[in-house]
Order: sequence, then C-alpha cells, then structure tokens
Amino acid sequence: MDVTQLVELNANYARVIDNEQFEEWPKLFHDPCLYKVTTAENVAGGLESGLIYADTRGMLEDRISSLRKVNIYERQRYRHIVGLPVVLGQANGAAELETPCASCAKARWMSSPPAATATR
Amino acid sequence: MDIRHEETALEMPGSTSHGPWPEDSLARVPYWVYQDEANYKREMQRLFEAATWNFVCLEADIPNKGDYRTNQLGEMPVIVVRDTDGSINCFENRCAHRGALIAFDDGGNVQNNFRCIYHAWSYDLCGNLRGIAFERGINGLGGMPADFKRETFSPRKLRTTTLCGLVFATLSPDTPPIEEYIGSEVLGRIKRVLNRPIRVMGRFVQPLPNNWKLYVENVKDTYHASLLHTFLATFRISRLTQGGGVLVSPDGGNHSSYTIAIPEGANATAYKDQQIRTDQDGRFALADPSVLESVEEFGDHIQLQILSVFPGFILQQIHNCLAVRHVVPRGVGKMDLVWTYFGFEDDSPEMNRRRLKQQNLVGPAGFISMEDGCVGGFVQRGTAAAADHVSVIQMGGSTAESQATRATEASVRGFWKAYRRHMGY
Repeated sequence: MDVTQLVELNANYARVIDNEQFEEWPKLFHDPCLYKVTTAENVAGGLESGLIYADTRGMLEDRISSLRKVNIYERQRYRHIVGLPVVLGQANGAAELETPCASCAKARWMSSPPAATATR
Repeated sequence: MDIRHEETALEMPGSTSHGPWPEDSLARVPYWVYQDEANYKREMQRLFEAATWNFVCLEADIPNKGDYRTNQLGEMPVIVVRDTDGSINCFENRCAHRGALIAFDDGGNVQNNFRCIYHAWSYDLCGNLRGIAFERGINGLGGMPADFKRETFSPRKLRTTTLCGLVFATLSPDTPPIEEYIGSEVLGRIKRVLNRPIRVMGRFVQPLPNNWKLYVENVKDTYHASLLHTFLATFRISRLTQGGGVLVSPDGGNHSSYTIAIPEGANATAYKDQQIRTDQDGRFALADPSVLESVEEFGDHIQLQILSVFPGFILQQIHNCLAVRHVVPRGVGKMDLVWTYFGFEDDSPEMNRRRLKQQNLVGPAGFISMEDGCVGGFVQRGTAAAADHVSVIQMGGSTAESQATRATEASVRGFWKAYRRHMGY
C-alpha cells in the first residue's frame, strides 16, 4: 500500500471533523471496527476501557447523531494537526499505522485553548 | 514535624467568612460557598482533614506488598500502600526534610521503602523515616546532629479502613467506624454492588470548571437526572415515573438513589404531557442499540443506583456499567473527577464486552453523563455576581429524610446538613 494513500486517509479524517462534516466520519471505518479513546496509562496497564468505545459503524453513527440531536454541551471548534504516520507493518493490503496528532479546541468558555495529543 | 497551626479564628459559632448562614433552612444555600477562598480553606481543614472518611483507592489497585497509589484528601497529598502483612497504610505524601512529594507518580510498586528524590531520605511502608543520606557526614564533617531524633520527624499518618474492596482514610482519631459513618441503609446498597472481588477496567480524570460541591450536589440530585439527560428519559434507563426512591443516611451526608425496572403505568405520558425535552421516545433511535443491552446482575430489578459517601466518594451502577468516582478539589472553582471503571474477577468474556460497550453511557464522554460535565460550570458562571443570593432546594420539602420518590431534593439537603455540621455553620 502506497504511503501517500495512508497520509491522505489521515488528512481526510481530520478534515471531516474540523469542518464538522461529522456524518462522513463513520464512513472511514470498516464494519465491524474498533474505535477507542483511552489514555497511555490505561494502555500500558492493560486496561481495556475507553472514554469512547465502538466496535460497529452503527456505534460510531450513534455518537454523531447523539451529539447532533440530543446531548447538551457547549460547542467547540477543533483543528487537528496530523503528523506523519509510522507504518508498523503491511500485509494483504492492510497496514498498521501509528500517527501523532495534536488537537486544538476552542470554546467560548475556555480562557485559553488547550492542546491535546494523541496517536492512533 | 507535626505541629498543627491554629485554625482560622472564628468569632461566633455559626459565623462564616461571609457572616451568618443566611437562613436556618436546609432548603437555602448561599452562592458564596462556591466562590469564597477563605471558606475553601476552611473546607480543607474541617471536611477533608477532619473527622470524615475519604476514599483513597480500591484494594484491587494495590494487591501486592509494596503496591501504592497516590491520592489527595482535599488538597492534602497522601500515599496509600500495601504492607508486608497485607494491611494497608496511608501517610502524608510529604518528605519530613524539606516537604517535597515522596512519591510523584499515580502509583507503582516500591518493594520495601519509599525514597524522596530530593535528598534521598527514605521511608518504610508505614511512613516511618528510616534513612537519611550521609546522616553522619563525610570524614567526620557535616551530617545531621547526633541528637537528631528521626522518629519524631515522620509524615503524618492516617487511619485506614476497608469496606467491600474500597479503601478509606482519615486524619482524625474521632471518625466513627466506617459502617456507622455510612449508616445501615446506604451500607446495604454498597454491599449489594460490591459483593465479590472486582477487577479494574480503566481510569480517567475529568477536569471540571466548577467548585467541587456543585458536582457532589449533582450526584445527589435525583430530580435533575431525567430532565437533563435525554438518554435516561428516552430509553427509560431512569425516569421519575418509574419505581425507585432515595435513601439518606441519618446524618445527611451519604445517600443512595435507585430506579426499579417497572412500567410507568398511569404516569406513562407524564414527560410527553409536559413537553420535557429529554423525552425523545419515537423521535430518536440508535443505529446500534447494543450499548443499551443489559442483563439483570444483582437479582433485585434495580437498574440504576447512584450512591455517595461524604464528602467526595461515589459508587455507580447503571445497568452493567459499574464505576467509582472520586471528587478532588483543585482550588475554589475547579475540580478533578477521577473515574475508575470496574467489573468482577469472575466476569465472562460476554459480560466484559457488555461493560465495555455500556461504559459509553457514563464517563467524561458518556451519552448520559456528558451534560453533568457542563452544568456545574453553568452554575459557577451563572452565580458569579450573586454571592449573597441563595439557591432554592425545596423539591420534596425542607428536610433530608429518605423518600420513596426521586422527585425530591432530599439528598441534596442531606449534603448541606452534614456540611454545615462539619463546618460549624
């Protein structure tokens, strides 16, 4: 698999979130899938829980529809700064990647925009 | 060295940093309690560092000798550690020498002793000062005076107690035994959930932009749940019209609310009739409802139970999503909410997967609970210019007894009953 394709996938992924085209986001996943937001400490300790845990595309769609329609929260805008992926392995048309990513969020109630980093 | 400074002098009993408590009613609370720095300092001394039991960790967090976790009683840093004989010790995380943190990680294992990184003074698993680097100096020069008595220079030690795998600590010799402190009704509800060995599944820290008490009140507020949280009302996880109630301990400080999975009967249309926002039944559905697929786990049809122990411990059972939450103050207008998800050691793979999915419901990004992450901040900001105004906490009357309904604020009033007693207001 061409690394350019992988970089493009990451760039599209960040773009649909930053441009609030959230409904496009689940389409970037296979079904079934595994999407999990957790901490480095949980991963290091072998603890499985996620802040968000989805193992079907339907669960990802529910995250979006819930945010759009029923959850109450203060709106935030995001800008993801996506680094270059490290290709950990490739076989049978599938690749294992790790990508560093920093996300800046901005909301009216925040005195200064916090930054978070993550890999996936 | 253990010298307690004099507490802030207070002129009269019942007097606060803002003068007397405005009204002698549990149903009125002045907003300065969420804003006042002097009051916050007094809370540290009178609540967290006094005759209360404070959650410090789970026994499952420290199974082996030398395993430790760090935590805080209010702002006081502590170390809790498993000793050689299996007992659990807790002591102030403050080196006797210059006051540095002895341990600065969230947890780990130290074998036999802790060693401060600053000047390498060391402590045994009981918190006794055992070693001083270069105590006798070098070639007869330097070192500590010969009459220095190590045993009088140890960090303060706390009493610990365990209950159903929970570990609590207190600085006071006067705190009653934990069973008495919690009260029999609420105690029964802890034993109901923590009935066998547990297994930690994950930990998360959620910073919240509000005073710590606003979160504790939110947890005790049975009235708000189905009015704020669409998932509770729409999917009938917890509605006021379902069976349930709230238990409040005699001293007010501890509570357990519960929802029983029974049909709503004659009240089935009450949310629709009042056009309550959170009732989206028929209008909002999930593409993959597996997040709601639960099994009866405790044999009593209670599908939701929220429980708190004064001042800052919470135990949650929402369907099969189990967690403890710990409220850690971070200054007058900020706090951390520390979540620990757990299951049981004997969970089947299916139950483990079910819990992982249901954890989407409750947590910092929980379908149900994400609203609680903003509503405390709304109160903090809404009351910015209203220090001497009061909130109205009068649903279900003005007392703090157990009630067979959740359309009440009885357990919120219970919190203020305990708070005012400890604070001397």
